[in-house]
Amino acid sequence: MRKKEKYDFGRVGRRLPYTVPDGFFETMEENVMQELDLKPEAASCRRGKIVRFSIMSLAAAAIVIVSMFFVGTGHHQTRPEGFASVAQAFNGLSEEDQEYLFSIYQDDIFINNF
Amino acid sequence: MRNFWKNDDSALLALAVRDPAKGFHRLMAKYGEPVYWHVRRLLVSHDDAQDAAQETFVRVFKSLSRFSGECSLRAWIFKIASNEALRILGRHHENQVSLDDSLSEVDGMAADEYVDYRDFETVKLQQAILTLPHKQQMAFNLRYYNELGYDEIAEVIGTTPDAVKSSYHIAKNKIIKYMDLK
Repeated sequence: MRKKEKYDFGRVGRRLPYTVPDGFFETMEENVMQELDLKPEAASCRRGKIVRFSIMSLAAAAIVIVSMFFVGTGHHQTRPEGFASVAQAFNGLSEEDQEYLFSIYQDDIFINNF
Repeated sequence: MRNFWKNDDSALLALAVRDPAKGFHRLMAKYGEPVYWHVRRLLVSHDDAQDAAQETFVRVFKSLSRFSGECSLRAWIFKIASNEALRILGRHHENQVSLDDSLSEVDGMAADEYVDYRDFETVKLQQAILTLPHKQQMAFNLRYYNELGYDEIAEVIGTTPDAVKSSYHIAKNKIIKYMDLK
């Protein structure tokens, strides 16, 4: 007689049958911040930070490209590695902007696995 | 150069002390969903899970200055969340007549509007988990869904890592029996 196979958890994985209303997690944070009398980050503030972050990213990329250009034309200055030139650009930012970049990457779901 | 790739709860705590609004926003961004789903798995009801999750973070914020680091921040937050869920479950059990308390949450799944019954196999798995005693549910859920180590789960539940390991394997075998039988 063939032995019955044990249940395979891989068939479900981590799926759950539970759902939440649209926008629930944003609302949950707002509710908690309100109860604690903490000011949540305003949407306009977030938009401004996204624009600023985009500009800073472009600036960092431009520095890398310019550095590579000088190497390509035979400029004999010591070429910093691409990452180091980004580091130079980063160190040139204000503390607040550095903090913001830190927070963006901290929240990034592709970089940080829970 | 600051290593902003590192996921550091120490930095998060320091930020919460320096700038409570910003720090707590980061904390909720990191732990809001995991905490919600942890209590939802125990409570089933979305409304109850919302209450438990929100109350968890209120308590976390109010107790943050008293967090001594004797366990990980994650374990501490999950411990508070688990206690909130158990408190709500206790309140429900006081109000019901049924002798079999562990099945009330199974019935609750049928009553909640935020359940996708089309995913039959996941519904059945949750029903299997809900037949377990609460500590076994927590041991299983925290290991299976959140991938916490036995040490951390022990800190959440308030027991030893060996007891957690035992609970987890007992829970898993019971679930397998339930899924194979039905």
